Amino acid sequence: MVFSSMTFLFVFLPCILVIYFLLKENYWNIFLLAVSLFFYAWGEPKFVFIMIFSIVVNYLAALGISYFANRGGRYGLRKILLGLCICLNIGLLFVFKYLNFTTLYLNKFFPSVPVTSIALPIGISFFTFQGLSYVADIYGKREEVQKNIIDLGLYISFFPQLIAGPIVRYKTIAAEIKDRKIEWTDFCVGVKRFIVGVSKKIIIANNMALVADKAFSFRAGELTVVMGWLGMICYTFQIYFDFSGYSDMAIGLGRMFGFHFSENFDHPYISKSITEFWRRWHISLGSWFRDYVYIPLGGSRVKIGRHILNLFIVWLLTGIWHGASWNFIVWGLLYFTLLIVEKYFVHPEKLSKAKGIIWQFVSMISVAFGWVIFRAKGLHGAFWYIKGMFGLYGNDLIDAQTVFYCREYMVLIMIAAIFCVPIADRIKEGFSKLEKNSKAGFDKTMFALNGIKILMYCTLFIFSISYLVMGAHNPFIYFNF
Amino acid sequence: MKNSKISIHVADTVIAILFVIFLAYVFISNMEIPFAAIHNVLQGTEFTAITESFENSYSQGFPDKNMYIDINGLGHRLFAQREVNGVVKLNNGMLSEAVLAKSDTSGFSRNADSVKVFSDWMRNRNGNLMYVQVPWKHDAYEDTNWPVGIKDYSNENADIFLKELSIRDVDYLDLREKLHLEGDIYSKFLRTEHHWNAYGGFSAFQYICEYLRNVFGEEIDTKVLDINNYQVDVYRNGSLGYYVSRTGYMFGGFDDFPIIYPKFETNQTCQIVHKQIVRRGSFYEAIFDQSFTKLPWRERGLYGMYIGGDFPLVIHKSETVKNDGTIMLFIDSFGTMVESYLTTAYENVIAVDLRWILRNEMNITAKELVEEYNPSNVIIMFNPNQLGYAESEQFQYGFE
Repeated sequence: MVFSSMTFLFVFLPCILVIYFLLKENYWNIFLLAVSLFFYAWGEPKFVFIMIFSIVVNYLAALGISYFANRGGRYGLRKILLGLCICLNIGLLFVFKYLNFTTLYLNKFFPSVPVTSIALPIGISFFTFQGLSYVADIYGKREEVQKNIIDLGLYISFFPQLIAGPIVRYKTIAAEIKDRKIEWTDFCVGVKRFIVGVSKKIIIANNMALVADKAFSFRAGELTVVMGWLGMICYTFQIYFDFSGYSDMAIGLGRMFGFHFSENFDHPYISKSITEFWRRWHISLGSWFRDYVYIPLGGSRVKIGRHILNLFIVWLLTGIWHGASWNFIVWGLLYFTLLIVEKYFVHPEKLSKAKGIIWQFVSMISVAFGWVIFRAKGLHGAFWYIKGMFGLYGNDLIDAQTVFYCREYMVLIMIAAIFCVPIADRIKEGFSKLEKNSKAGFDKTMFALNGIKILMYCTLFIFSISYLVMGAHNPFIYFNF
Repeated sequence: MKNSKISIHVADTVIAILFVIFLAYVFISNMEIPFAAIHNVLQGTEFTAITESFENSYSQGFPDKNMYIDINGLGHRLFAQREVNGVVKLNNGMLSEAVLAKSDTSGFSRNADSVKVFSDWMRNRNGNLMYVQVPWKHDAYEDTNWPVGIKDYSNENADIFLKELSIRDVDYLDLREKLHLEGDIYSKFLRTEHHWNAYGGFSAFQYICEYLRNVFGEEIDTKVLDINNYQVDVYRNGSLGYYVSRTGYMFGGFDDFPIIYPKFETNQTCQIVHKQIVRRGSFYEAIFDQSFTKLPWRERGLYGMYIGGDFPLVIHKSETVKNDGTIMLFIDSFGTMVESYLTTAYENVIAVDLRWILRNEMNITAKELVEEYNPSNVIIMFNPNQLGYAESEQFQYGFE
C-alpha cells in the first residue's frame, strides 16, 4: 500500500486514526504494530513473514548481546552474535534482492547454476538497515536494549517509514516508543506536512514521470537531443519530488501519531558541491553509511590510500543498496569518483565565488547525469541515452513530439524548479514576519494570512486527490528499494 | 523525546480539522466498499485479488467524482496543458482524441473481406450495399487545428480501409472528402465530444441520399434534402459531451447543441425493439427523446436526444414518405442522426448496432435481419476508430 493511494488515504488512515485516538495509551504500540504488519501485507501477504523474521532475529540478537555485556564483557560471544545477526540480515537482503542478479551472472559462466526468480519484498532494504543499526547500537552500548518485542517490532515495522524510509535510528524514537503524548499541535503540523508530501508526489513527481518515462522509452536513435535533455531534467525533478514527497508524508504521519522522525531531504539541488548534495539528499541513508560503515573503517582520519578505499567501499555499498543492477553500482562509483576529485583536487570551500558557481553547476549537472544512469534500462541503455543527448547517433535535434512535451509540461517544470529551492521556507518566514507585525487580537492581515494558508493547503490536497480520482499515472520510485 | 511545544495558528487547526472531516466524509460515503471487501475475505476470496480491485472500486465510486474531474481539468488549464486523460484540446478550443495506429493491419483486410461478402450477397438479392466513411474530428486534407506533436491515425486508418474496399470493388462514400470540400469541417462537429452535430449529421444525410439517387437510382423526394424545409433550434451552452466527462467542464467548456427537424408534415413511429419503447407522432415527437433535456446539467449530453442513444435495433416507419422502400443501416453512434433524417426519405428505416446486439445477447445476425426485413439498400457506416480491429463485432455479419 502506498500513501498516495485511495485505499490508504480514505480507508486505512481514517480507521487507524479513529481507533488509535480511542485506545488507551497501553495499547497504542501493539495496535500500531498490528496495523503496520497489515499495511505491509496489503500488497503481498506472504512477505509479512519476512518482516516478522527480521523483527525476531534482531530482537533476539540484541537481547543476547546485551545479556552478555551485562555479565561482564564476553566480548567474543557478543561479537559472534553481532556477526550472526549481520549475516542473517544481509543474507535475507541478499536472497531477496541480489540472488537473481548473482545467479544470472553465475549462470553465464557456470550454466549448471539455475537462474532464480525471487520476488522482491517491498522496503526490505529500509527495514533491514533499521534492524542492523539497532543491533549495532546495542553492541556499541550506545542504546539500551529493548526488552519488549512489540516495541522493537514497532520500531522496525512502523508503517510511515516502512516502505521508503527515512531510515529511522532507534535512538530517534526510542523514548517516544516508550512514552509519548498526543499533542494537537503535533497532529496539525503532521497533517500539513502530509499534505505537502502528497502534493509533491502527485502533482509534480507523477507529472514529471510522464515526460521522463516517455524519454527513456525511446529506442536508440529515436530520441531527439532536446527530448534527451528534457527527460533528464524531468527525471531529476521526479526522483526528488517523489522521494522527498514520500519522506514528507512519512514524517507527517509519524507526527500525527506522536513520533518525531529526522529530516531526510534539505533542498539538495541548491547544493554547492557533491559533498553538500549528499548532506542534503537521502540524509538518513548517508548518515547510516557514515556511522556504520565509513567511520568504523576509519573515516577520513587515515592515510590517503586508506581514505580512498573507505570512500570506495561506502559508495560501492551505496550503489548496491539501491538495487541489483550494474547501473546502481556505476552510479555509486560515479559519486566515489566525483568525491575524490572534489576532496583532493577541487576543494570547493576554498574556491572563489566565480569558480564556486562553476563547480556548483558541474556538481548539479553530474547529479543529473547520475540520475540518467540510475534510471536507464541497463548500462547499455544509459550509454546510448547519454550519446543521444549529444546527438551522437545523428539523431534529430528536436521533433514535433518533443515540442509538444516541452509546451505541455513547461509550466510544471518551472513550478518544480521553483520548489526545489527553499522558496516555501521564505514564504513561511514572510508570513511569520507579517504575523508578528500585525496587532494582537483580530486583525485584517492575520485574518487574510490564515485564509490564504487554509486555502493553499486545501487546494493542494483537493487537487492532488483529483489526480487520484482520475486514475492518473501513480508510480513510486523508491518502492523497489 | 523532542520538545513539541511549537506554536501553531488558527489556520493550522482549521486545516487539520478540515483534513479529518474530509477523510471521514469520503470514508463514510464509500463505506460499503471496505465492508464488501471484508465480506469477500470471509467468503474465501483470495486476499491479493481483493487488494488489487480495491483501489479501482474506490476511484469509481468516489463521492462527487465529477467535481474532482472539473478541478483536475482546471488545473491542467492553469498549467497550460492541452491533453487531459487522453483528450486533446485543439487550437480552435474544441476537444478531440487521437486514434492510435494499428500495429497489425490485417484487421483492415479481414473487415473489408466481411463487407465484400455482405455486398456480394446483397447483389445476389438484387439489393445494394454501400459503405459510408464517417469523418473523425480531424480534417483529412488540411488541418491547422491539431496541436503540434500529437499524432492521430484516424485518417490513415480510414484510408487503409477504403483502399481495401476499393480493391474489392465495394461501393463506398467518403464523407471526409465531402465535408472538407464544404469547408470548415469543425463547424459540423460538437465542441465537447467526438460526434458531429446536427449540421454534420444532416450534411451526411444529404450526401448519402445524393449517392443513393445517383448511383443506385433511388427515388428520393428532393424536398426532404433541402435544409430550408427544416427548423433549426439551438440549445445554447446546453450540452456537455462525452469528453467533458473525462476532462471536466472547466477544461472543455459547454456545447451549443442544434437540433434540426422538418417543417413539413411528418407522421412516423420509432420503435426501440429491445426496450419495447414506441414513440409516435411527428418527426420531432418520434425522433427526439425529450428526457435528455430534463437531465441535471452535469449529465446533459444532448447527443443522445436523437433516438435516445445507441440501441441494438431500432425500427422506423413513416406514413408520409413517397419512397415505400426499406433501408437498413449498420451503424455506430454517429449513425443515429443519419438514421433519423433518413426517416424523411424512406418509409422503413431499420438501424442496427451490432455491438449492442451482441451485448444484449439478442441471438440474431445481420444476415438474418436482412432476410427478415428485406431491405433494398444496406448502408454500413462507421467512424475511423472502429476500423482495423480484427475481432470487431461491427464486421461480423453472419456469413462467417
